[in-house]
Formats: sequence, structure tokens, C-alpha cells
Amino acid sequence: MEQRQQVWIVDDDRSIRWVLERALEQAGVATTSFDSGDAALRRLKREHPSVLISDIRMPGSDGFALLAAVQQEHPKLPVMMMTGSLGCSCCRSSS
Amino acid sequence: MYPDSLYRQILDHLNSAVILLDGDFCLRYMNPAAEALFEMSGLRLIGSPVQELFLEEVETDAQTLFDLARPYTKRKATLRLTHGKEIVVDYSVSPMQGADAMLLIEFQPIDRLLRIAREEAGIATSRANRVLVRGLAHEIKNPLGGLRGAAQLLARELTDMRLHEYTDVIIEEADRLRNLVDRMLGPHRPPDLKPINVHEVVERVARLIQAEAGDAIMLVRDYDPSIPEIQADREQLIQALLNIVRNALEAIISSPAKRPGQIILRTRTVRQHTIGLVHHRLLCRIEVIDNGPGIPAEIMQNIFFPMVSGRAEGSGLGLSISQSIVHQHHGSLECDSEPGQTRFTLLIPIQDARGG
Repeated sequence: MEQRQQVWIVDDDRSIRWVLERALEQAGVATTSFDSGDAALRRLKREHPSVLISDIRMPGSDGFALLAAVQQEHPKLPVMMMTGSLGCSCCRSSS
Repeated sequence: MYPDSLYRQILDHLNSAVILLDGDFCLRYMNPAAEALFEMSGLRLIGSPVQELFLEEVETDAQTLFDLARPYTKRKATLRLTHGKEIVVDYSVSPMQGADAMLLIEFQPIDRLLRIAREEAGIATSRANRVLVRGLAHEIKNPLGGLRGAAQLLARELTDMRLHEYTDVIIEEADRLRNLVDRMLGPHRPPDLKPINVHEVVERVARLIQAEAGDAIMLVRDYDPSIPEIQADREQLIQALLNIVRNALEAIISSPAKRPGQIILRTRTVRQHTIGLVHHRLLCRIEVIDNGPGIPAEIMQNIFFPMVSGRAEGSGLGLSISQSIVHQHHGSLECDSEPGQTRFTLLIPIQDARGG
């Protein structure tokens, strides 16, 4: 049984989520959006997507915290990180 | 009793400047702090009249003091040093009775304290400023990303190519705003500090400016080639200095010239200087002095703020970026200006072998 491709979008900014949702849907990819890393982590306990796209700078669990948790529990799940701010706090290794 | 050498040591290590005058107002002793304050060597001046050191009416006061035989303090006295520089001090005169009547004078340089207070306020302001800009930048860039993305998606839906002109405008203007915010944020990365020769930086800037200015200005190089290497990010320091010198160049070019435009690039070492509570034994000073019209008094207080510019076409970001780079090098950037002479003074600590 082939499961339909699911991409999860994690971003605290509504307009960014909207753009990503529309862009992916136009490409025929199903999406689910979360406005925080914590919300995505809660859902991850029950199910997981094909790919996860996350913002880095967010209130609560930021993108790095989310990435660390995903690597722990779902080491095979591909994660894409994105950011609009190139501040030095983001220049960390994601190993 | 303590040995005499201990008293001598105490005097040598005092931060207060202390001098001793005899009954003829000739110098009998000055401690190292006094040598530093008056920028004179004590040994050479022992036995010289006090006027060799500074000009002030200490004398007339002192005559009465000898007679009164009680100490006297004067606040905020302006002393003119023999080479013309003026310093503001509080001083106390204490007559010492004995076989030889002598006057002990202690000096507290208050312009130094005022300068430190002003510098600290400046550093605190620029730090607050950066926090504000960072916060604002994040808040602006996110919606801009959404705006740009939505315009791109819309462009894909538009079959009438003429309508792309509309989405193009949205995208281009969003990019323009993002670039502005990026430039306001200053350098993206912390400085990569390496030992460099400061003259590599100054010369690079000098050549760039000479190429830009052509015959419009005369560039005067006044270097101290003995300055030790400084710890700095070469590219960032070039950027910081280039912004300052370009600012000087633009000030000269934009004003009707009464005399040939001139920019002096001067390098020196400075000893014993405090930047924002941190004391440094040795520092490198780079001065950029132009003979342009000067900075208008009404913007002088704010020239290091982003978006403050004396020129209509200026972005108002250059000096703010320079200052942010210099602060990241634990240095200071200051400016004083009057018509015909504007001086930017950039100080960067030089780490000595002991790592101080």
C-alpha cells in the first residue's frame, strides 16, 4: 500500500505557512501545518510525515530543539530547516 | 615604620596625579600618574617652574595658601598644557610645613571620567539599538517572506504576461526592503579575529578612496609604522574604516570648496586607556580627519544611529555599521567636528604578550 506523500510545515508565521502550503499543494503534495515546534512534537508521537520543513526561530521549542527531538525519535525522517535571519545564533552545526 | 621604598612605591602606583612644588613653585617631584596626565617626563622637569607643566592661576592661590597653611580644593579647573591641550581637573593643594615649605598638589582628571561616562552611555545605547534592530528585522522579514512568496505564487497563476509587471513590482520592492533590513543588521557573523598589521587595512582603504576620489581630494598618510599587530577581522575592519573615510570624502565633495579637500589618515599607539570599564595597556588609534564643512550640530548626537544622515541621498547606515563592527572588536569609535575639521577616532585594543 503506497502512502500519500505528507509534508509537515512548522512555522510561527501565518503568511509563511500559507505560502508553503499553497506552493506544495500546487505541486500535488499534501501538507499539514503547525504553528509551533511543540505542536509538531505532540503530533509526532502518533504519526510522522515523509518530510518535515521547519523554521528555526520560533517561540517555545525552536527549530533546533525540534530537529534534535526528531533525530532522536525518527532518525530516518528528512528535515529541512529554513530561516530568514542570518544572525550568528543560527550558524550552529546541525550535525 | 615602613621603609621609604614602600612610600615611593605607593606614590608610583597611585591613579591620582601628585606633584610637589617648593616655595619658588618649582617642581620637586611628580608621580607616574602626573607624568601621564601632563604628558611630560618628570625627570626632565624637576627643578623647573610649574609653568613648564601647565598654565593656571595655581600660583596666586598658592601664595595665599602658604600664608593660610591650610588645604584648598578647586573643582573643574581648566589647565592648559604647554603644548596647547586643555584638560579639566579637580585639584587639591596641601601646604606641607617643615624645614622647606612645600605644596603637595593632587589632580583628579575629570574630563577622563566624563569621557568614560559618555563612552559607556554610547556603548549602552548602541547595544540597545542593536537589540531593537534585530527584533524589528525579524518582525519585518517574516511578513516580507510571506508577501514575496504570495506574489510568486500569484505570478504562476497569471497567464496574461502583462500582469507579471505587477507581481514583479511586489517582489522587487520586497527584496529592496529585505536588503535594507540586512544592511541595518550589520555584519552577519562575529568578527574572525586574527593578528593583522593595521596599515594593511588603512592602506587598502586609502587606495580604494584614492581611486574613487581621483583628484578631488588630497590624501595625507601619517602612520606610526611601529604599531604592533592588532587582533581584528581584516575584511570587517576595512568595511568599518571605509565607511568613515567615504563619509569624509562625500562631506568634502558635497560642499562648495573654499580650499582643496584633504583627508588625513593617522595611526598611533595609545597607552593606558579605558573603553567601557575595561582598561587596556596598549591600543591602536586610527584617526580620519577631513577639512570638510563639519557635521551639523543637530545631528551630531545621533550620527551613529541607523538612518541618520547629513546627506539627502545618504542611507544613514555607514557609520552605524562602522560603530557596530568596532564595538565587536572591543574598541570605540568617536567623533568631534567643527567647520573645517571633522575627526573620527577609532580605538582598538592591542593584546600584549601577557594577554592583557
